[in-house]
Amino acid sequence: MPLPKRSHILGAGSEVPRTVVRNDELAAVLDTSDDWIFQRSGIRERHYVDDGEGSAALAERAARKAIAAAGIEPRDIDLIICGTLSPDVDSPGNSSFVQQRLGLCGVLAFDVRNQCSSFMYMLAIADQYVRSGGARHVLVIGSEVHSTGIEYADRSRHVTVLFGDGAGAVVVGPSPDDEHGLLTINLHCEGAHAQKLCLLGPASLHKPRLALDWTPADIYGWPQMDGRFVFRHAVTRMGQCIEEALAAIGATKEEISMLLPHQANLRINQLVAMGLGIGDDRMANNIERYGNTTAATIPLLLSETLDAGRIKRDDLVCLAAFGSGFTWSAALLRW
Amino acid sequence: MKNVSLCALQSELGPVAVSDAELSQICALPEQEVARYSRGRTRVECPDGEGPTALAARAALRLLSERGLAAADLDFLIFATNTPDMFFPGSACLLQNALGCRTVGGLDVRSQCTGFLVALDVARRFIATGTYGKILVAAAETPSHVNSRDGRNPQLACAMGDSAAVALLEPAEDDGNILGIAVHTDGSRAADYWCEYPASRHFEGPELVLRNRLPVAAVAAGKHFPSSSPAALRELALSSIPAVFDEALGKAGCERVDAALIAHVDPDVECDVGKALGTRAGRVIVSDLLYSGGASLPVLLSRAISSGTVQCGETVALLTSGSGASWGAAILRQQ
Repeated sequence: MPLPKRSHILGAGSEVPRTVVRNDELAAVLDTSDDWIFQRSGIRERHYVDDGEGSAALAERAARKAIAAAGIEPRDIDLIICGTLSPDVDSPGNSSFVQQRLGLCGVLAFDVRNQCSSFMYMLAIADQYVRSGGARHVLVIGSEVHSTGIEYADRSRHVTVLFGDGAGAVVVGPSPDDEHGLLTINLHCEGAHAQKLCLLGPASLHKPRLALDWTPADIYGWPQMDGRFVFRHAVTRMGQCIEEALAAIGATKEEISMLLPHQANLRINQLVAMGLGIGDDRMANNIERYGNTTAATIPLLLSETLDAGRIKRDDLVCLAAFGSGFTWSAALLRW
Repeated sequence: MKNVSLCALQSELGPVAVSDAELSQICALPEQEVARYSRGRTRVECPDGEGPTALAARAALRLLSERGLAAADLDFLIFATNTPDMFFPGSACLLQNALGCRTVGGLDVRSQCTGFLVALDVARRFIATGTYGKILVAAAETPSHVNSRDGRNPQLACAMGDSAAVALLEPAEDDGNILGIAVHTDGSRAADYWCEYPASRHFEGPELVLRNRLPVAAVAAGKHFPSSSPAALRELALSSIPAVFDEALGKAGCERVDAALIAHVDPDVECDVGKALGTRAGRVIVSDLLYSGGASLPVLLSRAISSGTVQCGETVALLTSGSGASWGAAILRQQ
């Protein structure tokens, strides 16, 4: 069988836990308010898991929906890639547990750790496997349970209010023709700013990686962020990599039918869209309801935007992400 | 599709040698018990403040210098580690900064003991499709920063050391030398070699402040240390490695190899697997160093090439199994 020239997203699915946590519920334990959070981020509420429900459980449910949407069966999957920075256990990665839940033991399954850009890196990998004949149907899942890994204390409020739990998944497979599917994707990183948005520990720069007398009073175990610095770089880098993607296929920003940006902060996305001359009619956001679900944001948003009928055949769809690392990426797909 | 060449390999060992006698003092274990797991192999470790990126960067700078290349010549970085410097972002970003690369993509892959094999498979596909030219693949682990040092989990505490290797891949002008790769995962065996905490699925109580994936009680109980079942790991190796060796030989279109390089946390298992492979495996080569997770195989190959144990033109099999559970094989021709 000839190798496909292009890969495409054949189906998408998403999952969020039942429990909704509104801004004012966070304001009950943190020095913040609904207005303070909304003004800075565009977030009104997020979903938190119930007891015992990890990021692998959310991933499984999103994956089953994506597989159904692609019109295939779980047994048709021949590679599983999971992206998360909040795995069920420290090691091995979530892909092992998702694989077991889907009844696909034996299939190659691995994890990608590229934070907010994980989905984009996974999409690029899936594209490589499909086009080089390494796999026919690749299951790509981003899932996060942030609610058990953020500090409910005032010193961390600027981080804590932003994050929510959720999962999104897609099936990547061969495009039925050469015109539709993934047209271009670029991947970038810049480690000089690693500590501007990071979780230092436990991790193996230190020996031991976690002291036995460690307590939650030590910021080492909680995410840290220089919000203004990250914000500024996000606006610049997302704009740059979208322009790079457009140039790679000889398209203009006017041709973008729908922009689906990573959901870290609505204000970032509004500035990126303004720079490209893209209005609300050509952009989708759902951060108001979910907060930042990191590796899950783009497939979660894609799944909802498809379900809402806002993406039509032949549309030029732009995906873009920026986050911890720093890492950033943009992709263009002909739907 | 372009053919792919693994054209250079360098390794770097943790700078501190730790004898069985010294480790027995550190871990409060009888020296004969330490020796039972280490089997006389050399244990090298990194000090506090030196993580996998530092080791990988030293190996990479040597590789670039030897090839007459600059960091700016690299088009993509892939970092395989189960013991990253920080919890996030991943070590590929840190390596990008340490080497002074352009803001190219930096992918972090998590596949535990088969991390290098997965990274190699991903890298060769990015080159085969013409997406990237030169890709640096790093595999580095500092298990001495992660494993318990108090007598718990003695196999892991005694039988592991810190090391790194980097490989340079580029488009081949001839047939290339990566002949076949096969890797598999079985998540139903995840608990045979895992580390439970931090665990995003963990939940102490319904109140927000009790959502803590790294509770003090779990740390006090040592649940943030990896644990292994030596019998299960032995069984996995003996059942899976011969089969995946056959599969990779089939993909490579080879009947046999000149040498089989085997890496496993249990030195006795390496010997028993070697015997089980039969004459198709040629010479069996194992390390004089203790196991270093996903870094073990490329370190072993790099040292075998340097010492002349593996000669130009010879075909070799890289074979391993471990956490995930995962197992895999790569068939390469030394250039």
